[in-house]
Amino acid sequence: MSIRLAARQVAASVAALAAMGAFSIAVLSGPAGAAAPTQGQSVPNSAQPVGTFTAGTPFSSGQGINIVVPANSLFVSNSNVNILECSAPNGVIPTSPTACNGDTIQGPSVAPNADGSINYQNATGSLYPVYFTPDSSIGDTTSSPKCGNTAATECILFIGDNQGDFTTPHVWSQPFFVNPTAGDTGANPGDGNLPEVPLAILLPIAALGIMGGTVAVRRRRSASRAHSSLV
Amino acid sequence: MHRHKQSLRGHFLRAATIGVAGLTASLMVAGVAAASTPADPPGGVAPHFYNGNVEGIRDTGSDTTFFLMQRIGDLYTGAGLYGCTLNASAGQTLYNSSDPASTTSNEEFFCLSGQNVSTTDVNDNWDRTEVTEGVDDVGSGAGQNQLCAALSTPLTVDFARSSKPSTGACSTEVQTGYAKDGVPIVSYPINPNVYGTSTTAPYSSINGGVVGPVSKGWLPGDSPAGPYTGSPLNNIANNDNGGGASSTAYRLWCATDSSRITDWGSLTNLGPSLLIIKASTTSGSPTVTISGNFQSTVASGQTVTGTGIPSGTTVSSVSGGTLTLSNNATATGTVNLTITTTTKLAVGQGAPIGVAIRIMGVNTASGTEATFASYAESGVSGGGCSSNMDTNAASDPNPATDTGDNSTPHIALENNSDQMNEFAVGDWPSPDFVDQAIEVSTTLYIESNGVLNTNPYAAASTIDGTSYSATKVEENGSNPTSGTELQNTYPTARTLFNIYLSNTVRASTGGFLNWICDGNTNFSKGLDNTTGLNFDQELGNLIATTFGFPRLTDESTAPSISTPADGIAAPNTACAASILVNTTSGSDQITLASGAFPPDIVNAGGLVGGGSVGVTDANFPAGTTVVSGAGTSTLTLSNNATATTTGVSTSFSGVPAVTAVANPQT
Repeated sequence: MSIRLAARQVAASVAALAAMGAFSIAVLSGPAGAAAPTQGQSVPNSAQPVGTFTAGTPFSSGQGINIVVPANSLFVSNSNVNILECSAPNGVIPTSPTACNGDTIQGPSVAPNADGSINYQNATGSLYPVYFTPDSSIGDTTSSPKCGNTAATECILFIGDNQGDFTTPHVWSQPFFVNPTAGDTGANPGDGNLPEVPLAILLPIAALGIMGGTVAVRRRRSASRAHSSLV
Repeated sequence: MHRHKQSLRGHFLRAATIGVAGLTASLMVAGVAAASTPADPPGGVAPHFYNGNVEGIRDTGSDTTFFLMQRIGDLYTGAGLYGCTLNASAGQTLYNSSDPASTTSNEEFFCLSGQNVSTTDVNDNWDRTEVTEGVDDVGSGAGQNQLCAALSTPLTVDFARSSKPSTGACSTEVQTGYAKDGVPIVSYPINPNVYGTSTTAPYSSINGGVVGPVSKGWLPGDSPAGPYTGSPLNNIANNDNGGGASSTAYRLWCATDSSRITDWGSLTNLGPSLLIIKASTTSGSPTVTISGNFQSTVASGQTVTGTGIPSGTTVSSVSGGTLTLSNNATATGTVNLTITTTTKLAVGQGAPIGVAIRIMGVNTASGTEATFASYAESGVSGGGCSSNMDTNAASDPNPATDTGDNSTPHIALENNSDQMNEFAVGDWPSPDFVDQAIEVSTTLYIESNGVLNTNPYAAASTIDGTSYSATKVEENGSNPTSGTELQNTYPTARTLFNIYLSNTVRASTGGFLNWICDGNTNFSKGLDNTTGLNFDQELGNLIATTFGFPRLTDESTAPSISTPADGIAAPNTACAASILVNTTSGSDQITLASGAFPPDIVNAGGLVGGGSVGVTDANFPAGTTVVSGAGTSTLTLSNNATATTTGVSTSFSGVPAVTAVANPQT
């Protein structure tokens, strides 16, 4: 497990614990006041669960989510954007369109607002369905890009003018995970995160690590002083 | 045929001998490295139909699939870089003994026998076939007609690109469906007022030439910048208002009588803030009249506002085109009124706003046009779109330029929104951008969903250098997605085909079409040495992501809905082999009228990864698979037949479509 992934899981666990474990949330607003995203940036919290879901759980295949991008200078209201899943192993933003899965592109046209912001639900009156891929029900074959629930199959959404040309205006969602769900019903919806590693376990381990490190440093200093006194 | 068999037998013997000798020698000399040199592939049989001849094959027809097939053709042709070793001098032993002897005058014509090298790829264009795409007569119907010699062609046609099913241009057409698509209606939500006020008839008469984006719900009297009191155009159905000739789609595209919808208000002026234009008022009178009838949602007690109408006025009664108000009008004139209704009208039933709908015609040779014409026809027999969808195609609205070649209805090529502005520029020469914008913003067009999703330029119209994306309008309340296209729940879901003739199909064509259809199931495509990716991954990426068409393979399953609402079948299994077989009730065996089953219908566990060939036949239960008998005249299946029949169409999942070619070794 990468340090970054572990850190994200810790963050997820903090969020989850703060709300007393698994619970239901109604997302009421987007990232109000968030900084304007720039070209090719991953926008935190842009792939948002809607309605009732379980925090610290990957999205469920077929689950409808909202896509929210703050005001920016990238997008213009007369140029529609496309949204589709791309494979992002270990959360690394793709560099080639071959990482993206055309079978997951949204159905309706999505027009940015006058300030460049995007709210999929407001623009289309519907939600964007995320899929665990490859998924034969949407035309995938075994060689289609992978979006799943492991670090190697981590997923990200392309949000931009032309998924075939990464030099055109685009941003990325935050990386997320998707669980397979029979029939792509979206049952057991999540927030796209992996299950949290409980702090009850992590904190003692971290404390032990800190204590161990402190002891090691002190011993090294003591040894160093002893060595100095001998010289 | 006899000679072919002899040739093949001779070839196999030679290949085996050379192969064994070569392998032995290689092992002695080079050890492990030489073990990767592949043996010559089987000749003349499915799925590759290799004949050792360098050939060029050419397709023609569909515009929708033109660019995709260019890329697929290039990928396949490029794979040939690592194909067989070609003859380079006289007297060399050729792979195909039916070929003429190798001479200095036919160097590079033929594959050598047993001369593969470590980099040779035997599953991806070993024959070094070159694929090209024709553009001389564009459109799926034209391509099929050229294939069938029903239409002249300057160059040979080996197969037709088609975005619609076989038209029966000739009886031997066979279609291989390798992708899905949809044909959405699109509008252009442009605000013309950003380019100023129109001063030229007829557009200068719309709200004094101050025009907003009608498809977003702008109504005369609204600020062009919004907010808008009308309803945005989100959906056009072919099954509403009772369906048939009463549907909104039919009335827009096909109707030629008084039911025809010609005004944008029918689509967007639905209430509850219902605009009534050109209402006649008389000072001192409570009576208001209009041409035609008031909409059905207008009723007594509703608030009425407008020039010459006292504040607090309501509807006292309504009858036909006459309205009686609760107060007398204070002025005489023809004015616009707004009545606040309690309910909204259905799309297609709205009140006129004086803005004409422009129907863009589309090339009638295209599958895109044929698909949509069938949708708009709405099941009406012999209706106004029975020939095509261009019945109500609009002409140049500008009297000054509506002359000569520009005086006929505008007919665009399929799948390119940029033509909207090109027509507009012709009708309203620059710098009359406001009238260009009004023309485009009042137009309805149709376009391939794959093109809309992947080609921003072809999905937009440009006014004075600013590009405006086309916006999809739902059909029967549905949007085009991979899922709705594959399940045929999207009304204009369609299958994209390559169509060949069973009586003339060349080996190189059969091999290429099977290469497209199989998704590493029947055989494993190799690594593209140019990119480091597997060819099948590249193929799938081209179809699904680069061009936006959900891919079909020889493993795709049939949707529960075989025919979408447009009435045109859109099969998902046409990339799989389909053969007429004989069945016997209670028997697990199927036979052919003559000949043997192709060898790529493999025995149990013979597919890549150990899978078995699935069998879909009306006389066998679901889940039936092939057990044994590959390459013979009798196949044994995993279940017994439920009926005795002859010549029943049977589909073999995991086996690509082309099972036989006309001349395997020539």
